[in-house]
Amino acid sequence: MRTIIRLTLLEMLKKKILYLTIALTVVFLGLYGTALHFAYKSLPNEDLVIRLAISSQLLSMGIYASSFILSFLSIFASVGAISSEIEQGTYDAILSKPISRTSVLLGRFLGILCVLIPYLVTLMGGILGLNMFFAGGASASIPALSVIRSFCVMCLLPIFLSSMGVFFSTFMPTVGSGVIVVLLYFCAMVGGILEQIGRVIQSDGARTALVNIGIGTSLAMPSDIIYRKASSLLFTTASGLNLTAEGMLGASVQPSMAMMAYICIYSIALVFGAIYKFNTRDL
Amino acid sequence: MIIETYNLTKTFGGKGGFSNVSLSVNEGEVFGFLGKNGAGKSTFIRTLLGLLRPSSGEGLLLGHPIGDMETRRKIGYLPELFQYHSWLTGRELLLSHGLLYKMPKSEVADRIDSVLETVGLSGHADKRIREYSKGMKQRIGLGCAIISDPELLFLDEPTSALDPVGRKHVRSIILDLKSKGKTIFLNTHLLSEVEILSDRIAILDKGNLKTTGKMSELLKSPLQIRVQQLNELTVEKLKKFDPEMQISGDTIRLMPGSADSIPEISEAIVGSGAKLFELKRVENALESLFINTVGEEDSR
Repeated sequence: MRTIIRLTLLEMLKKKILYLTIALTVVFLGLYGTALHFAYKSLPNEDLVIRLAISSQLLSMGIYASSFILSFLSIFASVGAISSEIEQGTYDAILSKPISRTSVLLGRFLGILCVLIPYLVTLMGGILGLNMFFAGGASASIPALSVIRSFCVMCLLPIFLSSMGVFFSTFMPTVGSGVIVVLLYFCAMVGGILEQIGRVIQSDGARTALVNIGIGTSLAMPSDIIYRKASSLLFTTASGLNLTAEGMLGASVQPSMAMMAYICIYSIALVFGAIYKFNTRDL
Repeated sequence: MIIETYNLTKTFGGKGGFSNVSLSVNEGEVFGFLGKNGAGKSTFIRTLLGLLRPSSGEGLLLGHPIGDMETRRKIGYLPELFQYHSWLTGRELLLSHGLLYKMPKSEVADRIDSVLETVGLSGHADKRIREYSKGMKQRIGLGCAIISDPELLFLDEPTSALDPVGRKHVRSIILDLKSKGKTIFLNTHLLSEVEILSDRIAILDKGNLKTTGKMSELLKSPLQIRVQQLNELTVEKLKKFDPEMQISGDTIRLMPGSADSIPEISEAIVGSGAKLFELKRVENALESLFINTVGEEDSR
């Protein structure tokens, strides 16, 4: 398995995927930092409440953009993990060697995560750091524990999306897998927004319908719920106040730990499903 | 036996592939596996290697069921469609494949240079595979197959991308491996290659095994003799070597019992007063056998 992890990392380096991602991330952080600089500069210094509210929205936006980038990286890195190698014919020479298909699949999966998780920490750390730097004393006071818990939950995003991408990759062509996972991702995103709208609607019928759509899409593709849980953990102050509860990018009701457990079980099931599919298919 | 199959079958929804193939390959021999395009030769090899799941039947490699992980340590494979990670250099590719064989890194590193030299790529070790020509890719593929010094080698069309010089080189590699006691399962379209290299052959047609046996038994090629002043005594003497010999004008075609009798045949002709102008083995005996076995039709 170590050889496959090594090959996966080498591929990202040699194909310059990693360098390009890092370069574009630096550009993204540069633009975000510039925006923060001008945004904070324009805010009235004396009104701390407004500065705090805007600060949390700006940070929330940054985290949302990060989750978006991370999601697409996870999807594109994983949907071809197995299928592209089969399509190219490289697995004929590899799988005739003394290595099991399970090891190859797990090696690819872990290799992808070995890149994505450090990237997530760096990107989110960058967003958080830029906010603290430009907001100065007006930045929301976020306890270190909230940051750690939020980052840990956010790690579920690449884990879940990669496990889903790898699962489809074991029995579908790369393009087909990519289309399915991206469509599911957008369904989840729209479902999440509808759920947030539903929670503030007065009509019982409409509220129930919109919330149920959100719950349904989250059960099928929990990417949005992971972001909302991570965001909610990050913006809940020591006093229990959720600074982004009312925003479209926030969560009026923090997703439960049971939902996080469901996502973990779902991810494991997808990986086991992928192992089963890969082990029982012809190359 | 190094390879044994018993009614091994692989079909795709009941179509294609091969059916009920039972054959055995002995240790240290080069086994030529022949058949037309689409006959199921590559499917057979890929099934033996566990890349495809057999539909039915049984197969043993080195005494273990096909797909056995430990057995694969002793097997090398050059696929017909030799595709390798193009972003690696030749040296990195060999290292990766050596590590996949679970060889210690130092041992792989020690072997890489000699393998590169064997396949004629010493000067190209640090070039990326994407910069290699098709022939070089096939050579590095052969390198990947022999990096672990395997006991059994499956070579699927090993010279398809090579020029005549490259083909000769690969033939010499195969003969060298044979001299070291390696067993080689050779799948190729090039009958001349099979004729030179193989001890035994099998011919697959439309997924069914048609012929299998020793080259020397299957390819008893007749002698073609051109004589002048052919007389009764000459005919009498030659009939001792083949009572069913054929005479057409000044050309005689006979099947001697063994190659040892060729000097005696020439002595019999000259001694009986006939003039010997030519004595040769009929060429393309394998081609004749192949065509007679599978027919000339070009579709499955």
